[in-house]
Amino acid sequence: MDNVIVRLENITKKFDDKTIIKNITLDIYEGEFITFLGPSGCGKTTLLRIISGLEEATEGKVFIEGEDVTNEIPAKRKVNTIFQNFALFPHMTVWDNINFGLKMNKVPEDEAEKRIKRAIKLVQLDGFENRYPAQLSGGQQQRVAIARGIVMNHKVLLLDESLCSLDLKLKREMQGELKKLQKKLGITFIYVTHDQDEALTMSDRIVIINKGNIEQLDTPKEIYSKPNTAFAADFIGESNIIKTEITHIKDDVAYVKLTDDIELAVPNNDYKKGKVTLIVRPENFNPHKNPVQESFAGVVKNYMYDGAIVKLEVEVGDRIIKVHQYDSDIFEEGSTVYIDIDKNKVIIIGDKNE
Amino acid sequence: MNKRFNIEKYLFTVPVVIYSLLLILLPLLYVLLISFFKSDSYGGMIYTFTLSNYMEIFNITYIRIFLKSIGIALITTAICLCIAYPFAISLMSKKETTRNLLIKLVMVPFLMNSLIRTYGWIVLLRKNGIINSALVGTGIISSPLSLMYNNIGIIIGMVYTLLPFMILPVYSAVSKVDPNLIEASYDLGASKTKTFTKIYLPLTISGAFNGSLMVFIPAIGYFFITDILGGGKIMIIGNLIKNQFLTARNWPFGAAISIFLILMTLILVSIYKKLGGKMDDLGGM
Repeated sequence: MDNVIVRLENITKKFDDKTIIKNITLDIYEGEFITFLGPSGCGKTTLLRIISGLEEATEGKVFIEGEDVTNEIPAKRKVNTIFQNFALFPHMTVWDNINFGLKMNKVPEDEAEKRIKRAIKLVQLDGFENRYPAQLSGGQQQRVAIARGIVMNHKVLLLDESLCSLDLKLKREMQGELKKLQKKLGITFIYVTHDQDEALTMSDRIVIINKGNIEQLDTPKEIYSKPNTAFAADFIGESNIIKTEITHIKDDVAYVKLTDDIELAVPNNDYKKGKVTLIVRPENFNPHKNPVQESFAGVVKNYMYDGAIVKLEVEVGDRIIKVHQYDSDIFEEGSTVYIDIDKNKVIIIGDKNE
Repeated sequence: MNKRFNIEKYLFTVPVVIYSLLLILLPLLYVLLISFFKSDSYGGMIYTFTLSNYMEIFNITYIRIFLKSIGIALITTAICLCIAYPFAISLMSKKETTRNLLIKLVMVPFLMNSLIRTYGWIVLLRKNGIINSALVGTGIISSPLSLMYNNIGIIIGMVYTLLPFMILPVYSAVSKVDPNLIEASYDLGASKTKTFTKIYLPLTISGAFNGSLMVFIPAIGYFFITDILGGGKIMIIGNLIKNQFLTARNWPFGAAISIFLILMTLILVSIYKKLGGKMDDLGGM
């Protein structure tokens, strides 16, 4: 259905004896916004640099637009990178910065002028053509960097933690703009970040990378609601990760131990009896003032007001669980709270039935 | 308490102030003064004001020496630049420990007197010296090359002696260039040569000019190199000045050439300033 624009085949990268990327294979499609998400040092930036050619893979192959570019230098690859610190040439004006790539590729002047004007318009930098990077704000520098990349008319743009250095408000603004820009241009954005909010809001697909492996590759919604691993669940959004066991299974319902006294009945037809990891998002625990059906009791340890929601930490037996509350009931610290659970949204990670 | 502290502060500057006044400023003023005196034929001075010493500089004999000096100094500077840049840039891709070691190696020659080192070159360069014996012995050339007592010898000696003064400022400038800029340049399709001329060079031009000054100015004056490796046949401004003071015993004329040389240096520095260079990069002024 979709065209593969970048293909990574069995990519392994070693620095000295340390393996940074372990045998990653990945297809990236035309026109998608894909994010490499992971903690620092997980190999996500290295993977991006292997695509751009700034880093050489120890093993494996890189294809861009169907061409094997594994041994090509960056200049010959049909991708461009937006660097984390923007890497604008300080001795050149905005115009000359954007023009640099076109000049190097010997694009005729009149065509270059048209393309630069269009790029400047797209990133809303009209009127700043003759400024130097040092005379621009962080957000404007970011725009120049993007314009310098998109003016090359390649089908793939690589963005390395590009919003990282902006302040929070500007970051939010740029997130929306980047997404809009990507849709408008219809090109592939490969975005690297350690910020899960960014990944969730902008991406069509997220690749969660951990210690050089792909932990999960899916749409933001799928990853959020069905994380494959405890790491993925923990990295995307908040969650209660409870190492526990299924004590017994009856009529497609698994009984999962929460504490010594409390068992949760969870619809199940996948998992076997035994040790499992139970993952519950805080918003899937519902706090009540009075007991409701199938609720269990806990004690409010901490109450944090956060605007739209209230974040509770509730002690249940020997565990502390995170609970989000959306109504206006006020639970004082030390008071009793009754909690029931959205059974269908509980995630179990453990041994599956054959 | 505060007052005492201030006195102490001034106290510590006294040696330097005395040093500068007594050993630099006063002699310089004396040189300036005698450059306007007449000389008598016995090496003495006649204390009457004249500009004739300065007029004498524009004699064709001396202009030839000036042009020759400038030529040798320019070639030396150019060769030093051509060695320093590739070296500095290649250092950037090395590990920090390797980099520091190599930079320390650049400074090793400073541990030994430059006069002695220059004499050492005779052993290498002369007709039956190590280089010629090696080249003839291996059959690369049939008869020995004239590597000294000519311009080649002088330039080899100058480059050898002055290279560290080029490498250090150039390296310092190059190491301040954000490596991401270089990657961005490659990423946007620039070749290595273009990346050098369009990114490295404009961003490190003050370092290059700094190094060039530090090589060019001594290269005009290092008379001992021309004496030793030029065999006394070739004169540069440095030899000319030395001869006026020690051989010809015409101190006023020697002083006039010295002042002229200082003026040329100041002009070069002001050009550098005009081009947007920072005085700090020259060691403050």
